[in-house]
Amino acid sequence: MNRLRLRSLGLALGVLAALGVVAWKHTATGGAAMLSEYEGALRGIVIHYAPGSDFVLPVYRQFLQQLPADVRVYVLCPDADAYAQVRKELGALSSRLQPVLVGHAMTAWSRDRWIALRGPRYTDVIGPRGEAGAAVWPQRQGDQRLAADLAESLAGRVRARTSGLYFDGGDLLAGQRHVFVAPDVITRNLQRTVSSMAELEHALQRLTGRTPLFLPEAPRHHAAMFMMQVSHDTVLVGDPSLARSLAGQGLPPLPGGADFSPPTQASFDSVASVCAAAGYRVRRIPVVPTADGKCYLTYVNVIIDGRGPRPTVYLPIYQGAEALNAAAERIWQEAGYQVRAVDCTSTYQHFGNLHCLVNVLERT
Amino acid sequence: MTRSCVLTVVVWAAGAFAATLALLLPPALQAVDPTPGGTVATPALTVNGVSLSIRPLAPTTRPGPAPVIELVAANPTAAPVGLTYEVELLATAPSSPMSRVMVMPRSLYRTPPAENRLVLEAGQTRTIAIASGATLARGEIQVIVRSGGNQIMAGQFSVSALAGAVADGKPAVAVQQSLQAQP
Repeated sequence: MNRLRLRSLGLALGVLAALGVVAWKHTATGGAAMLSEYEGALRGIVIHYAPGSDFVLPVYRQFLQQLPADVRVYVLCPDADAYAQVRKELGALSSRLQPVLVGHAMTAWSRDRWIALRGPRYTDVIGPRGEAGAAVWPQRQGDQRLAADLAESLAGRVRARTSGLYFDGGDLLAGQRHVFVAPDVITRNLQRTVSSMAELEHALQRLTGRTPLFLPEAPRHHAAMFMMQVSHDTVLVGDPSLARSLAGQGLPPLPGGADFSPPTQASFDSVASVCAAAGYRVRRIPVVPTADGKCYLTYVNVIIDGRGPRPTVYLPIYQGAEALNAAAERIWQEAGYQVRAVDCTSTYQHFGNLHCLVNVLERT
Repeated sequence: MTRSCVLTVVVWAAGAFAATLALLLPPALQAVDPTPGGTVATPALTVNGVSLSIRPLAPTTRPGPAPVIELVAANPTAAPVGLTYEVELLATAPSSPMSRVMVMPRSLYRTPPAENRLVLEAGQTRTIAIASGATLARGEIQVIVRSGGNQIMAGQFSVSALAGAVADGKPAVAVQQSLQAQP
């Protein structure tokens, strides 16, 4: 056997052995990655209900009516009284609710409490190191325990862990290649839990199993308030200028009024630029930010069900913004989605919409 | 097959094994270590070799006059360094118990431009007391330090009427919860 053949044989054996090690490591460590926003059919979702959060009920009614019957719906409530209340309010729809009673104060916002990672055996729900405002906000302090509460209730299928990083679940938005990272993750961790951006990048990679794409100049809000990934290569990014041209046809009440200022426009444009530079096709969609910086009429705060050849998007719409609603619906249809509208008029003034209220635990 | 043939195969296999692992393992890093990690003891912004930090603050304070913030600027280099800096206090709070996030932080204080120049001799450390004169209400305060186009949250503390209060060995927030739970 000549030397060239011997070398080729050695090369092949070495590569094969390394691939085996990589595959083994991937399986042994769980191979977990943060659930993508658009891939796979919905299998399990988590919503919250707490006394004082009646504004969520109209959203839940519309959403659950349209949700396929095979999607498990877990509802976290502080106690049996709260669960009885939500059952009463949702009527026949409540038959599909699977309650998790946590025994402490909490808020209605499921999305921000944890991120879900699907591994071969378990779904890992990973909560942040701490919640912003917990020291002065008893409900938010209770929110810190919800990932563990959920895992305890679903033991054997779901495990809870606590990250070393500060984040809200809504700060991170995962697609196939990247996890998009809202600016607050940088502010809350740099020089607090990590000493450098490189260290933060590494920590986020380990946390999510995906490559972080930082959006440092983005609006100071959660990622799905200003963008959503809709396919492997396409993202939708909010564009206030598109909304401005339609705003004359009517807007619902907005705290402080709409904010179409150049700095705000620039913050949305920065997201588009970062995504384009990372190789994504960027489509823009109307968004109305407000002067208080937190209430958005947004059309990317969606839940996507990737089942079937034509996936479904559950799209927030707002009474009094019909022209904007119609424009957003057209854009989602053009992106290949069938649209199921969910009226979020009751929630946007609480700084969140559909995606903020519904966290996805399991997908196919 | 001679010994040299075996050796050739083994050497090339080992090389290929190492090279393939080096190529593939970093992207294959998965989320296996989300457990609580470290804490940066003293957040510091380093600009032109000068480290800017603030002296640690009590984690909770009562509503009222803001505490004096002490900015520590240290120049460990062998040359004098001049820089401009800015310290800003930002305040935020929940708008309601059921809101999604706290309100957008509002600025309580920002270093006046006339006071934000600093020159440090080689090896010099200076402490600058910043009396903001701000009045704190219930919520959270962030202390932002900026210089050289970068910024960090150099400190953060809560403002609570129950700061320092302890009942039955419970910290302030537990006391607050129990008070709110009372009819």
